[in-house]
Amino acid sequence: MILENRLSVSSRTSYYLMFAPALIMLLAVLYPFFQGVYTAFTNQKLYLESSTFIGIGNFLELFKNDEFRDSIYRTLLYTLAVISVQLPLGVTVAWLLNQNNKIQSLLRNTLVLPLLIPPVVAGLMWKTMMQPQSGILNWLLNNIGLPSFSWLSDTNTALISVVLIDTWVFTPFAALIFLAGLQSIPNDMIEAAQIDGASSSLIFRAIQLPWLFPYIILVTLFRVSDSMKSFELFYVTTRGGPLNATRTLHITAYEEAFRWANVGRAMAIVFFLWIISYFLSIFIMSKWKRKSEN
Amino acid sequence: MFKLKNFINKMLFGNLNYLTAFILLISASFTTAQAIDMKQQSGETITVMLVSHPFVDSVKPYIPEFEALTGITVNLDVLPEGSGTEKLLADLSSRAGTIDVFMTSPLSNWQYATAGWIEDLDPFLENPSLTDAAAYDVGDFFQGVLDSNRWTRELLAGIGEGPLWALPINSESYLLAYRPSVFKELGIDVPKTYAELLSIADKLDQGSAQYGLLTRFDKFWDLPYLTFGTMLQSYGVEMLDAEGNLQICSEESINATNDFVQLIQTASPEGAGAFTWYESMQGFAAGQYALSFNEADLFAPVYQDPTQSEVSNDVGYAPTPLGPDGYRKAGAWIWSMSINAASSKKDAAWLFLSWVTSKEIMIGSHLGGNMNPVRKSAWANKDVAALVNGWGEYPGQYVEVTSTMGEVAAVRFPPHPELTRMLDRWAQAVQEVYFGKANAKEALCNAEADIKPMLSQ
Amino acid sequence: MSFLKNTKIFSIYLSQIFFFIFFIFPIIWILIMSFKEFRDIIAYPPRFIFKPTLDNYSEILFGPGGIANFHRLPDYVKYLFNSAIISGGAVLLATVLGVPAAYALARGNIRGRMHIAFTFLSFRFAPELMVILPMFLIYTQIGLYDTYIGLILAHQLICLPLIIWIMLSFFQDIPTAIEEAARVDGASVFLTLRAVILPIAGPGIASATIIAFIFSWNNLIFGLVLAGSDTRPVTMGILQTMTFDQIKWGLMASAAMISAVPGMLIAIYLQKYITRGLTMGAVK
Repeated sequence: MILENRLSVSSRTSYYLMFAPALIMLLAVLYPFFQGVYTAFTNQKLYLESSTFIGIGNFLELFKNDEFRDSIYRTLLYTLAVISVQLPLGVTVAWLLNQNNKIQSLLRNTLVLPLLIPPVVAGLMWKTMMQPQSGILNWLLNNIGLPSFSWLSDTNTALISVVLIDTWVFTPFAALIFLAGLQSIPNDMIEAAQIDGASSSLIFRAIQLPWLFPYIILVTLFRVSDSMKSFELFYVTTRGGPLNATRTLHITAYEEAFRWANVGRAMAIVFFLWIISYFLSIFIMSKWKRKSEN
Repeated sequence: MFKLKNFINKMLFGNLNYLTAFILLISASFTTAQAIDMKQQSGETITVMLVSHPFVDSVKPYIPEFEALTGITVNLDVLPEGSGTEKLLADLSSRAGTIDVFMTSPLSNWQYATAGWIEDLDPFLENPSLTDAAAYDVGDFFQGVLDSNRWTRELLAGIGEGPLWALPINSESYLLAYRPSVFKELGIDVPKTYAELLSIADKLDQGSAQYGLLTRFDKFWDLPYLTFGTMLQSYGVEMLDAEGNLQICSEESINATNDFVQLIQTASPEGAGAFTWYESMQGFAAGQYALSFNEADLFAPVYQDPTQSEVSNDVGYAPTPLGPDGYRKAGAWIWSMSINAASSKKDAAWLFLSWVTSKEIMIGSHLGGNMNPVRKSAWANKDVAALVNGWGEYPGQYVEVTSTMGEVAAVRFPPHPELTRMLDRWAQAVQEVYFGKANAKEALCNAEADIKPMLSQ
Repeated sequence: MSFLKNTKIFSIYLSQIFFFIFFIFPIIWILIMSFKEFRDIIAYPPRFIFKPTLDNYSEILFGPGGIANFHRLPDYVKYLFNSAIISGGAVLLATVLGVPAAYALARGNIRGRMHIAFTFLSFRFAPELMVILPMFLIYTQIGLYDTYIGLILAHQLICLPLIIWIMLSFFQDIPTAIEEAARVDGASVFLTLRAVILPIAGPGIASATIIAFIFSWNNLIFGLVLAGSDTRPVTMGILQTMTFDQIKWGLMASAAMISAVPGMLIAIYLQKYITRGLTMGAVK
């Protein structure tokens, strides 16, 4: 909501002053960013000083490569899976936390904990737990009569397993934001509805969910851009294996740069990744704009 | 000393005039009796980057000694392999020089030397004010090990000649580790050939009660370079033959690949296609496997340590199996240390490097778990000998096996800055066969086709 | 009616317990691991009865000799201290810069404000890989390598977009009534922000800062490449327990547990502000 439609000069200046420092700070990062972009159009190798400008050469080579196209598909699939799981889950957990019962505070205090473990450590721990022969998850499964699951070591189940780990690490992020959102709903709105006899599921659908909409967009934006470029979890659990089943764009770029010294191509991949994220986010934002204009 | 030299001079140069004799005398005593000035770089600070490895823990306690001896402050940067490589590459490629000395290997050095990022160490070795040649004793290193760090920077050739790019700090080779009790129970002998191994593969695997065989098998370059590489080489496969043709798709290679995959599929549990170094080590140490296949002898200290392994009383070592033609060859991994060409403190860096690779410090490191020694004097040292003597099914077994392997272990790959990429592609082909996505011939020939253009880049 | 209500209550409890177990199980597992010796950790079937040891914690905090042989502060403690400075500083700076920025974007009728807001967000899209190599080069050239300031600035890439966007949502939820009143009374924009909005936006700021702090604390890549041994953060300390041949699980677990403590303390402290927000939900 905008305060005044016609701002006085001093107000406007104040507003500009308010976000200018932040903007300047981030613009400073633009230089390395553009350098990276430039490298994407060269054949720069890590161990050679000079490089030549090759235009879209890197991109052409990449798109001819089956592996690369597969990794685009995989990255998008991963992002979609993450969003489909973590958004509903986050809302559910937030709603559960918003109940005023005894267990709720226990859950709330636990919720921060997964966030406090660095993703690298969480990845390693889950990897150990998921180890088919010696991990505790299969041990538990077997003890209740279920067959062992291959988790990260089979090409068909590896990606889903990483989604699971990501869910454990990042759902609290979504849930905490949604919780704050739920708690900012004015109490009298809820009370009025309750007095009118609305059921809690109606309250949820008619009041809470719409109220949460901007928060959902916020979380979606963050999770989409983070999943697209997710690296640490993949690196530490499977490094792109088994047999490329979890080879996402960022992992591919990393390998090109640090294992195979082809920095030019790595930057091309990363730039491409950035472009996809950019357009995806614009798309998501447009949903927000349309909704908030209603 | 003086008197003896005087005497010899009189004997040999009786007819020379005394002035010449005197000069000869002085210069002789000067070069042989002079030790170097350890404090010549006092006040400097150097940054040493090491990859997390038993070597690090074994030398850390000695570092304060070095600092006191030389007056140089040592900033020790210890990083795990992946992150360490990133950091190192960032520093080397930008020539920022924030790292002075670092841990590396011949394979990585093929890239670094091509780029001009590392110093040639020969001048330092030959400089009498920086190296006390007698005390340092370069000849004490195993020749093959030292030479593996030499390269003329010629593409695909020239290992063993040319500038010395690094000094070795340990050498790892591959062997079989087995559980004597399990083999006894099953009534089988430790296999001597790959054919024998294949024939007992079935018997070895007893399901989740006791898995059969364990090896490192994820889709990276170390597969054809080291563990599976040992098997490949024993089948007579070298990556490039004498004419410079790729042998990835050769008949021997296909046979080796098929045998390997069959072995894993029969004797290893599911999920074997994703085993990393530490998982294979842990699996065996936890007692879950009967045989560890072509695994690094680096793991032996862990297996023998009762606080870290369940099988410390039940471990034997054997040489890797013989190939179909009776060959035994093995891969070798030689951790080494180099000096950053962009460093501004090379002399101080050299003092550190020569100190850490000196006889006394090396012996100390082996006693602390850094295996295997690269100096003959270290193997001969009685404390080291006593330590490794107890390893294995019977006393001395470990030493026997490692010396057998030592005779056949070598770096048998063509030097090339992009070898890693080629080997990764090769490893992927092997994985494709294991996961049933292609047969060996297809997968390997496709890999060979992909790799061929990389050779000339 | 009552039966349905009871089922509902029951299923709510059940779900809460389910999620509680899901989120806490790995944490308990790590905690137990931190008290185990290596061979107990790798044992299979998983060993629940074992002889606990404090060696892992003592090695991390006091060095391999334990407290008896303590002669020099081990690196890990220094890293903890470094992380505190870096993340604390980064979040502080990001809050000072970000909250006003979010407010301006929420209230000020500036042309293209959503575009600007989006620009802030777009910095998060860049995979770190893209900027880290050029940044390293620049940092070493202008002397920011291995400095706290250098890292605090680099971490703005993490914290600033987060804080701006979270606060943006919050500000947009607050009805403008009070601000309008204040403006009519002649208060300047800055004063309005400070005296009127900030107290109300408490829970939002609390959530935003703790999330930003945690993301910054857990970040690995900037600490790896842009920090040297002087300013290395704690995530690197945890990573150092991964050696070439093995992962020292016990050490890693204890290192991770210790590293989680500051975040936990801050979360507990800020909980108060978040719950206080409950009663301030209605803006009257």
